[in-house]
Amino acid sequence: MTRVFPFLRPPGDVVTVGPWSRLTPDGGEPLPETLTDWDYSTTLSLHRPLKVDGLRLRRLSGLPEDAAVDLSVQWLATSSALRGRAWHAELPADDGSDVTIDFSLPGDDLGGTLELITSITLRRPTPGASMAAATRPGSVLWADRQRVLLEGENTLFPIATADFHDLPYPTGAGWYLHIEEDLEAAALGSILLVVNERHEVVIRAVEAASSPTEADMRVLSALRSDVLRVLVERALTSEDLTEESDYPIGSLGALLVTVVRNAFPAFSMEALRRERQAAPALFSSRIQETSQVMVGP
Amino acid sequence: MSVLYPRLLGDAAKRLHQEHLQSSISALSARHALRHPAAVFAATGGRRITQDELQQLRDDVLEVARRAGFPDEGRRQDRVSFDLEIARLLHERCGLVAGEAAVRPIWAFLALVLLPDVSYWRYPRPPGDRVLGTDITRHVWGRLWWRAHLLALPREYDRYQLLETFGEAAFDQIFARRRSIGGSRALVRTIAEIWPAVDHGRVPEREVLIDVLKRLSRWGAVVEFESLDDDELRRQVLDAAIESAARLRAQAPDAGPRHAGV
Repeated sequence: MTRVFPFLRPPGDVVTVGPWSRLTPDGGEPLPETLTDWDYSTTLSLHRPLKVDGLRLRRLSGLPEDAAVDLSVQWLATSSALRGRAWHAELPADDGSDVTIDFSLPGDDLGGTLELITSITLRRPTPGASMAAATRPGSVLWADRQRVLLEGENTLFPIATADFHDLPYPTGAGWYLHIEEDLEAAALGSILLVVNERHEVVIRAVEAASSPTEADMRVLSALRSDVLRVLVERALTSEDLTEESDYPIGSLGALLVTVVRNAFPAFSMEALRRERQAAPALFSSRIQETSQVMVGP
Repeated sequence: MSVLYPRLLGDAAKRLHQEHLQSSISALSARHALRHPAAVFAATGGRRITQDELQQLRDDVLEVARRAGFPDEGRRQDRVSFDLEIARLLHERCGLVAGEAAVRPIWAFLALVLLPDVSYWRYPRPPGDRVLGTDITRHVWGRLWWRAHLLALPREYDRYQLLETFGEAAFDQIFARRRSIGGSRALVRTIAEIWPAVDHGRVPEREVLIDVLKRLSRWGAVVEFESLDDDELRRQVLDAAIESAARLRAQAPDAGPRHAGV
């Protein structure tokens, strides 16, 4: 949905954004879409160059040249639903100013998808501004968003081992994919793969996942395929869930929609629901194909 | 490093809840445990809590509960004090980071396995969401950790001084808007800081707060509150509170002669 702002905003080209990069002990690297080595104890050192036409921005926003305008970065984390300010500076009243955003972000409040929002905002109302100009402090004159998935497969998709004798699952089963009911809740914490300690073949394969034998690989392939099947079926059996569903970023509902879209880019969810109902064997084969069960190492 | 707590998954939690509903508080005391066969640890992300630490947490909670009248029914005011002390205790001593505290099955473990007696004493015959891992905003323990986390002032000597600002029902209004207003610790703390100065006349506090939150949500569509410094944020929140209080007082002609403003 396009947001309608009740005040003048400049065109997007008043700011030229450079790429986000992450500083590491070995130097810098472009910020990837997924940070697989992140955990709660990680402090991210982030960096981004910008070129801003501060005068043109003020003029095209209906503000006088001396208007107090800020450039800042906010963070938002989907697992905790928390947000905060990471960096902040006054925007110079010059055109072609080079600005460097540079800050450290501790991991305590983060998790799931991290959204970095770079924004230019009005600090306070200014005498002499146009009637159409923003007046409320904090009014967003320009903004840019970037998302980073903060954890690798392991953290987003935690695995636990347990004796199925003690759980309400079939004692001889190899695994159970636990999915919470609330589609609005953060995906992190809503899904847990529980592996049965009694099932020696599966346990051995899961424990050897970093250096599996050929036999382990076949087990893991079957496990991955089944996990995909359970997630897709969970999505398809929730009739409220559609491609147009507006679930929050990082929520279980959003994750399920993405899983189905990635697994079956050529099919609508409605078409998949019909096929699952009318031709379950064919649907099952499609899951095998898309999950590449038993294909290669 | 975050401390990992056992997660009691939905099916096992529901079964325990049904059993606990039939039990007396003393029977629940006897049934408490430091582990449960159906509780599992996630394999990654931190250090597993030890049995000794779980026992210590239980002892600490019991001590606060006894001061509030546990296992007897106690007074309403005692339960309010209990909540405030527990919020502080859980936040200070659990070693949780926010990402882990958002994992709901850990709260089900605390309510149904480690502290069933205190949980069912605090909320006798509770609806499921008070003890299961279904809704943190309603959970007997989870909501208190989050209340402390959102209101804590890390740089202050008494970092939990804002905990007492709102009653439970009022704070629920903030927490239920976690994905908009309630996710901003700066905004939540600012609302709590200015709140004692807001004159809501005879209009119930909760009504004024709901109106303020709606107003801030509307502004938040085009305003980035996090970009403001502390003083400006305080002015904005105060403006919203003054406007809300004045509007509600005007709509309630019998609300008394107290003047508008703060």
